[in-house]
Amino acid sequence: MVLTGLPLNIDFQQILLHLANFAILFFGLYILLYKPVKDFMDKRTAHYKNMDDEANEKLASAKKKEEEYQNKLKEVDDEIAGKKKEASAELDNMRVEKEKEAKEKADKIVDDARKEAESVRANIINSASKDITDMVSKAAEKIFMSDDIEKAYDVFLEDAERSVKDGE
Amino acid sequence: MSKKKRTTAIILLIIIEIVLAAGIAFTNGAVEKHETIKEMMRDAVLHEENKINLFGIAVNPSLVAGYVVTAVILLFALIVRIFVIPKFKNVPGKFQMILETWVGFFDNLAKTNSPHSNGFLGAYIFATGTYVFTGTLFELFGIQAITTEGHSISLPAPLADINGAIMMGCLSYLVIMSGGIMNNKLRGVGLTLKEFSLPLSMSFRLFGALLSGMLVTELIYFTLGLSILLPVVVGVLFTLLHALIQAYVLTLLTSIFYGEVSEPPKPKEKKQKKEQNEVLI
Repeated sequence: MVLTGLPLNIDFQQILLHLANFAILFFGLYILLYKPVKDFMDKRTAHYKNMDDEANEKLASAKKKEEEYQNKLKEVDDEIAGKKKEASAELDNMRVEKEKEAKEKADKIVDDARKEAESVRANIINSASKDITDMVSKAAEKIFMSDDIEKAYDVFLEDAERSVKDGE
Repeated sequence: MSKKKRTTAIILLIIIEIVLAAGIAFTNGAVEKHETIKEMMRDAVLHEENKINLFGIAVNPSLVAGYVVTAVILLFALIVRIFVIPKFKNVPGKFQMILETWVGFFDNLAKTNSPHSNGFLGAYIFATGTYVFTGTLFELFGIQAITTEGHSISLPAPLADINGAIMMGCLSYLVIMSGGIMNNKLRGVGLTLKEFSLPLSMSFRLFGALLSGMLVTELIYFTLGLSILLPVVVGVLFTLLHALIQAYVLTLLTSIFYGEVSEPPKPKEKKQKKEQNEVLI
């Protein structure tokens, strides 16, 4: 029986032997099991975190591109709307000009027609004056050649009235 | 299972039980008991009688059990390191999952309870938890050793020895103190010394829990009438349960106290108020 004097037979030598045993176990387990398994788990976590980060980056990039695409689409739509507006305005201008041209042409035609009509009238009046002159000269001839002045005068008036009626 | 198979299984079980009972009854007289239950229990607590020769030193059986447990764990770790870890995959198989859960449990325990400093703590509580759990389960195997007096003795749990428990309790306390010194210098030492009863409570909690488990189990084994079916429940389930509980309790306490003493000091209220005023200004 070995008694050390301490209660429950506490033995410092055996405590140290237990400590040595545990120290061996601690370092052995740390090197052989804990560290390699933990390293592997950490690496895997980092790997999946990287994948997650990359996926998030790609998602963000895709969202950005989508946004840019939407903006471009909007710009194109705006441009198309602008072009349409411009074309419409141009068309309106062209229509107005054409209408103006047509009106001018119509006015010219009407003017020409009027001028022609006036010219024809003038010609007619000239022609009628000539006829009157002829009639007057004929009537004068007849008067001179006729005895009866009064009769000649009546003939003259009748001819004049008739010529006016014809001229109208 | 069909009715025929079930009947066959029941008959087979009854035959095995009869054979075992007969074996126990016939060999009972052949077993030489060199000590009474009283002597055995007294020796389990005081370790006065049964010593084992270890490299020329007469030591308690628990110390030898400790070395055997360490050798078994390290051999297992070596095999795993050489044959299993290099084949680890990102999507783990069953065995890899067990290893990762085992390591991850203690790593997370350290990170949760000591968020400021947990690198060394994780490795320490991993080794401690493994040692306590495996060491407690070790008594189930009943590996025999020869005492210095020439008797055969079943090796107990390594920490059922007061020396082993004191080593574990005091070492845990020193680890806690080292965390305090590393992170808070002298303040850490003060914080650790404040819990001066910790090494004592940790040591004797472990010793008491494991010893009581062993004593109850031994008591049941010692009585022939109880040794047919009851050890299946008492020996396996109780041992498994208190192995888990003790490993968890010790590692949890260590990590909680480590986290407490390694926590950086909070800034004083006056300073905080001054900073708030400066921000407001």
